[in-house]
Amino acid sequence: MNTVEYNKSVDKYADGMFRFILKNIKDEDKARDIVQDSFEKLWRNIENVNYQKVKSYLFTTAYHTMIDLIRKEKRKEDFENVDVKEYSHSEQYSDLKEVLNIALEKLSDIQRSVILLRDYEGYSYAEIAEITDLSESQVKVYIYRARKNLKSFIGSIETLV
Amino acid sequence: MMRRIDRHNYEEFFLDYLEGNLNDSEKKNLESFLALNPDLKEELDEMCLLELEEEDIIFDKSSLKQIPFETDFEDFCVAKLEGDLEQEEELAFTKYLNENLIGKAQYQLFERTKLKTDNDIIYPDKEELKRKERKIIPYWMISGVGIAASILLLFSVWNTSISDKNADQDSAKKVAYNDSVKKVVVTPTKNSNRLEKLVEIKAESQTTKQEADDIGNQEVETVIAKSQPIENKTDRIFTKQSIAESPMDTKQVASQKVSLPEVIKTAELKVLANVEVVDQKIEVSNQEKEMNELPVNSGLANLGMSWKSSVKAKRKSNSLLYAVAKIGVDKIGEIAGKKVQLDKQYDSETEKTRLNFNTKGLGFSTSIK
Repeated sequence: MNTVEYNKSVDKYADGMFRFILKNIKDEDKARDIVQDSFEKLWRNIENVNYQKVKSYLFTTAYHTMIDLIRKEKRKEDFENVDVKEYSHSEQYSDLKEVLNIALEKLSDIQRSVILLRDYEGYSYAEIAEITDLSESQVKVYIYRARKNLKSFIGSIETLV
Repeated sequence: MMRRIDRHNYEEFFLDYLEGNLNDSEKKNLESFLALNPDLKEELDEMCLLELEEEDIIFDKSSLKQIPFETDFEDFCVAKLEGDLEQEEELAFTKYLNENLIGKAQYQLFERTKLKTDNDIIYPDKEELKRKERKIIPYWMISGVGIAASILLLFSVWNTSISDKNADQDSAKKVAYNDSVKKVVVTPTKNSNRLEKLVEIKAESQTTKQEADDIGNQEVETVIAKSQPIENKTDRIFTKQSIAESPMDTKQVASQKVSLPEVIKTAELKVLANVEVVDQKIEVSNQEKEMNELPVNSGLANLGMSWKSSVKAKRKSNSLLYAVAKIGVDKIGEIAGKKVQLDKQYDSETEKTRLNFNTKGLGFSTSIK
């Protein structure tokens, strides 16, 4: 990989990475730092990274950096242990996007990550497995659980409305 | 072995006949048996009438096929959404959803869980992440810069070590030099009688003028370098020689009195004009100071011998270091294919020796003494 390809990677993937991280940690400064760190790591290993696999490399690096950060901050909350009724407040949701964003926050870290990689970046189970260090079947299970949780949240909100 | 048919086993033959399991010879035997036993033929005809016809029964299999969809409805919804269903499964589930309105509504909720990329979120400073093209620096440039840096380092280290040594020496020299000048100036008044005697004795003993000068120099040097103990030694010399040649002409003495300050002045001028000589004296005086600390009772000649040889050794080591450096620099110049010069130059104005280094694009000069 050369400098031109590196700069192309910045143009192509920086936004997606930033979006992915920001949706996960909800902290713009930290998301920026993680993206920057990931590109710095790429630059240090530029000789060893194939341009065809640079997207996967970047997302893998960013994902693991983010997980380390989350572990440090110990901000873990598993959707599976959360009663949806807890969130049934009187607040009105303007649109589905807002509802989904709230629902997304309620997911566990791993469920949120895999569903974002799946929907935002269109990754296959195998690619997500590579990024997250999980097996394909584990990725599939997490995605299925995430979908059910999201549907459950949306359904409960609609029922209330 | 062919079976024989009789009235005890005919039923078995009848069943095999109805099932079509008899071969031709068995069928012939059965027919001949029936001809002999017409009552059994009637029984066989009755058995033929019992054959059942297949009924057309219809079972609703679709309900069975719906069992998985109903049991794992959500999984099928997600699988359909994710594109994980086989083609046949996809068709069957779609048909199921179309026939089941509640199921269809549930599936539509699943469809809404599909996140859409939020294009409003973009990384703010992509330009700062970008890098400039790496430039390849030619080898000759790297080697040239490397050589220059090496030489600079070499001289820095060398010069530092020399300057450290010289710092001490310089301070000692300054003290010694000032002392020597004072002593040279003071000597004629303080030791004039003794020196006059010495010169007088030398003159009378028919020594050459050169010898007298040498002795005078030695005397001056001795006065410069040494303090009272050496003066006492000269006293002893004078005393012995004055006893040996006691008769003295007052005129001669007067003439020698005139010449003595000249000798001293000459020595003083030599000392002031020639740094090298001063350096030698400084070296010697330092060494003699050290030697004087010890209870040495040696003579003047021995003292002179000792400091001269010491100075030579030090100068020799400096020259050797310079020679090694020069050879090294010349070799580096040869390897690099560049003109690299290293010169040692004495500057009489500053009374210092300077080292000059010159090559293409780099040149510096440094004081080493």
